Amino acid sequence: MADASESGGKTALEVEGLTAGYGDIEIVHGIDLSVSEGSLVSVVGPNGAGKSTLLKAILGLVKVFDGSIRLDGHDVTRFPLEQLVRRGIGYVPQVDDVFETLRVHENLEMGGYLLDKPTRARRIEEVLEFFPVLAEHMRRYVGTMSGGERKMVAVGRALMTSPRVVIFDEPTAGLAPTLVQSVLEDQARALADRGKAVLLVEQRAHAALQLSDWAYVLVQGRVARSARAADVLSDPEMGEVFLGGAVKS
Amino acid sequence: MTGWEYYAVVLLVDFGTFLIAAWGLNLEFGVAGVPNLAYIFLVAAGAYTYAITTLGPSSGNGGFQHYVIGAHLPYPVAILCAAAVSAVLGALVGITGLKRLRPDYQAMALLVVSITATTLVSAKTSLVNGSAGLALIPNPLHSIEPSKRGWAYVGMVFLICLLVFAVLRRFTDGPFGRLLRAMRDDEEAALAIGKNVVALRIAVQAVGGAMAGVSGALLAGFLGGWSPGAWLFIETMALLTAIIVGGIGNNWGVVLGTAIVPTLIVQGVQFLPDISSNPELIPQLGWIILGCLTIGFLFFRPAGVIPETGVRRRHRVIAEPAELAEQPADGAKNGASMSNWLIAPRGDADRRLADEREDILVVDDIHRDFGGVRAVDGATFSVQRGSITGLIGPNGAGKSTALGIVSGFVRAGRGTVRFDGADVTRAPNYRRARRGLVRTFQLSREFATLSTLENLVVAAPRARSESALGVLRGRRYWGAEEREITQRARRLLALFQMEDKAAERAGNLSGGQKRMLEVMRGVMTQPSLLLLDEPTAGLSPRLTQRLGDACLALREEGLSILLVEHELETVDRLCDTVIVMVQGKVFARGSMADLRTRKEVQEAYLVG
Amino acid sequence: MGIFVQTLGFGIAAGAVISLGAVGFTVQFGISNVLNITYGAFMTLAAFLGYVLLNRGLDVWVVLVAVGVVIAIASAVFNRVFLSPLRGRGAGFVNLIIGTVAAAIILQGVIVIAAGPSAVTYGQQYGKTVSGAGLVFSLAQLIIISITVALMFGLHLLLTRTKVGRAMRATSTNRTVARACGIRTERIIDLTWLLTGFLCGAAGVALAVTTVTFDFSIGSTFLIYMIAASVLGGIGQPYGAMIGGLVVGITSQLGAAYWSPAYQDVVAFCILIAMLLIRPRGLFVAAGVNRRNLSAT
Repeated sequence: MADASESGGKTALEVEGLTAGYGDIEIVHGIDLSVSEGSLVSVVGPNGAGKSTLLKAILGLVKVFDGSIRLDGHDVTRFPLEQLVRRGIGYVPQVDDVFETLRVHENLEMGGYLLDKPTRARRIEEVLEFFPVLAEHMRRYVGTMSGGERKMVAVGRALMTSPRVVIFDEPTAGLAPTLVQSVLEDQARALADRGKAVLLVEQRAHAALQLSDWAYVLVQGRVARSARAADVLSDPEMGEVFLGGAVKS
Repeated sequence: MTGWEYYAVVLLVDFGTFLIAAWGLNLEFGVAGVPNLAYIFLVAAGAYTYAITTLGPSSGNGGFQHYVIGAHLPYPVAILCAAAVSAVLGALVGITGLKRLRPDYQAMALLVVSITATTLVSAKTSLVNGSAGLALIPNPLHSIEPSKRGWAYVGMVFLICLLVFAVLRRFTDGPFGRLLRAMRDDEEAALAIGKNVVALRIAVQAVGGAMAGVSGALLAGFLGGWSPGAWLFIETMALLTAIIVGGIGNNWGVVLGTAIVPTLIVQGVQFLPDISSNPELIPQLGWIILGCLTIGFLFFRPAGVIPETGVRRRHRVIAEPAELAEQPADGAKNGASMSNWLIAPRGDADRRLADEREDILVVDDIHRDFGGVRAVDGATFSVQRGSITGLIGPNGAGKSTALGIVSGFVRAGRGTVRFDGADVTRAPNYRRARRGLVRTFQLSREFATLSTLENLVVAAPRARSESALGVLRGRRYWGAEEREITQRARRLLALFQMEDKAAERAGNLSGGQKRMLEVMRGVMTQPSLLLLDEPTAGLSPRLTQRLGDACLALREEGLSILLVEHELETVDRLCDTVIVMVQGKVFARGSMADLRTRKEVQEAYLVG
Repeated sequence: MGIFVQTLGFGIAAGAVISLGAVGFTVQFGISNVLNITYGAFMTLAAFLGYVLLNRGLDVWVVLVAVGVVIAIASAVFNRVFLSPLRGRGAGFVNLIIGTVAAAIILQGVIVIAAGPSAVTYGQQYGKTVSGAGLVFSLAQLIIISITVALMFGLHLLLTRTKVGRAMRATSTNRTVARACGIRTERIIDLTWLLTGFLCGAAGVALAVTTVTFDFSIGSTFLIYMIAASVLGGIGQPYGAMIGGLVVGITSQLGAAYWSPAYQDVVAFCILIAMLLIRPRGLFVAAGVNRRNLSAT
């Protein structure tokens, strides 16, 4: 079987036989997945396929029944999110992704909660280098910002710990269509190009796959296909059967 | 009377009077979901009213106690007065529901009302003798010789319990109970199907209040005295514990709970001999046990010993299945004739024909900000009568907000909404629904504890069983109509091919089935314009197909639909006209085929 | 005018105690989203312990710290073994508030059994008065005011200047994002309960020092003052609660002076009911900034 790692460098995140869900209910069954440094890996699939649950299971936010998760070769299965962050995962949640009642600089500082002061200042510089626009808005309350700017704050906040793996949960949800491309390209893709291992769960399969190296198509809680993104994109059957309207819109 | 006889009489009278109060609170809290922590205040109001209407004038007792009125009324009249006063106060207390606070805030506000009332009554001596309380309250059975009076009182209390129960059942069971449970399960959804939630709440609190009043009057008449110490807010907790232990929402559970909790524990422990020198030990122990019981049940059995009647058993009451089975669903094969039945004209068919060419909905320049963000920014559009109009646009374009403004769930910052020729911009949401402008929700908001069928039946507009007076007249008054409604609901289930789910608890339906239910419930209200908010989101292709078929069938019968939708295929198939919204404004309008060819639309939306 | 100024003095002293308790209550709400009625019972417990210890002649500052620590631990344990598991079992808002009322009843019952029911008349040695600018304060009142000012200032520094304080704000604003920043939110929640428990304990001791006569239901009455102050300031907002406490304290004292002492409580209660009915999000909160959604919509 072709492996996702062929598309990039060293494997950073590796999931094996992951079964997870809520309460007693299994939502995802036996998922295998890997993300390597410098690559963008997308998880796509129809509504209710279990994309978000898979992601939350990796992040220690829902119950893992079986399987393992490894980060840089170390077992991190069932680690709580804050532990994973300390070990090099950056997480950008869906929609509710910032401290709304705090200012931009406070959001970034909070992202650097684990760091000492000089490192924090340095990282903020780095984030501003990545998102120059934010420099003008440092003192604004995030709650008053537009969707696109807000997403920058969310990603910037996640980058403060200088994570090796960055996980995006539907970053384009709730964004104006004109912003979709730029969020995926300037954030997810750009981070992969800078050597990060990027895992992206996305509803807008078409847009995501165009930028991704590797794709996992999730259907009813199982990996229906794991292949190069370009191959999934060009496969007419995939579009019809698994992605439904998602490819078109 | 012997010693134990005396105990027995006191315990039984306590039981009976507590039971009436607990039933009343159960009606409010258990069935209708109103967390009335001020309930004991209503009991007290009944007790005081009974006292001051049976006692002679205050001046006649030589300054022994002070109070107002002193009317010396006959006992039955006094008890009725008590019920009336508490009913009015109960309705007033119901105003706390106006602001639609989160339920725990309501509970707290009511708790404070209770404590404030205690403080005020204690402080104002001239009203009902302040903190010392009233004494020498006449016993309604004082003409009976003392040795028999106790048991006679027990008899009277139990008789009144039976009477109260006969009335109460009409509110808690059957169609009215169903309506209240719907409101308890989801207030927003109840508003969306045209139920006047505030009025219902006030009605329920008036009925519950009247029961509190009767309970208080009987208690005061028996005890002969009544003071602020008898109705501290903690007493409401005793009633609440009885309900939680016995079974929330179940009248029989409340009987059991009342026998165990207030009677045996709170009253019972007072008859125990003092086992230590600490006089506080025994009564406090009662409260501690009560607190532990409440917590134990909240943790381990929140539904109580006898949980609320399950939907299956209720079904036997609401719709005689045998009778319905005889009616073959022949309509199922013929969508048109059946839906004709579904959306019966609302009595204005002639006018509708006359206005054929007039748009059913005209929205002019509506605006709405959320915390500085323009959600809707001057949108203007209209919906043609008898059409299915699509409203599409990218995420965040303001479609759902626009739909909220049209249905009255979101206030318009500016602009007007005209429906069926009338300006409804200021009309409250439930009133728009009653006029035939009905919405569904993007996230399904089913009445979770009702069955699928009940969810539909409850949505029928202007049912006879919907008013407190109507329900008091009993099944003979509303039974036939109820049967008719149930049949209509079953036909609707057939149209959506969900007959087999009729008796399923709606909370247990799958996501897709809930969405179908959401739409069916909207249709059940007999709307003239149905606003569907992304009805196919999360639906399987099969269900999407089925929903589309149903929409087309309903349109054939004259229903207009405004459809907010993401799935362009569905829009293509169903919609006559499509409105494109971008950034809070209407960007384009036309047929789907037409829009596809337009470059700017493609750029803004289709390619995304 | 004389009465007014004097009443103002009483009001500030009363308001100081209310602020102290209200800040704890409101911060606790911010992190737990539960209206914890048991808070009043914990305060009664603190007042009772304070009374016992002060009567043994211990220094008021020692008592303050000792009782504060005890109530802090009790509060954190209460959250761990009761409130948080109850919520974990899916209890809704109403069941949670009923649960806290039940817990308050139990605690209250235990205190009354331990202490006896009768009102305690508490002869304090802080009878001396200090006056200035037309205001007259008893020594006890001055102690309370200084305790409050010191604790509020400390809290302000904690919330704004320390790492833990920032983590508390982050956790109460958005728990998931806080975790995504690497904050151990469980620990922060425990810490918040310890902190607010300490404030509750301190307020209880302050109550014991200033109130001449109290019975053991004082905490539940006082709870309403604190809730009123919290709602006035916008619930979940510590600075709002500080101001809210002063407003409630002063208005209730004015009510007592110009109307009747018997109605002192009623003024505070009416403020609360009116606020809930008219402006449940608080007086000082700018639109769009307060994220706490109190109304059902």
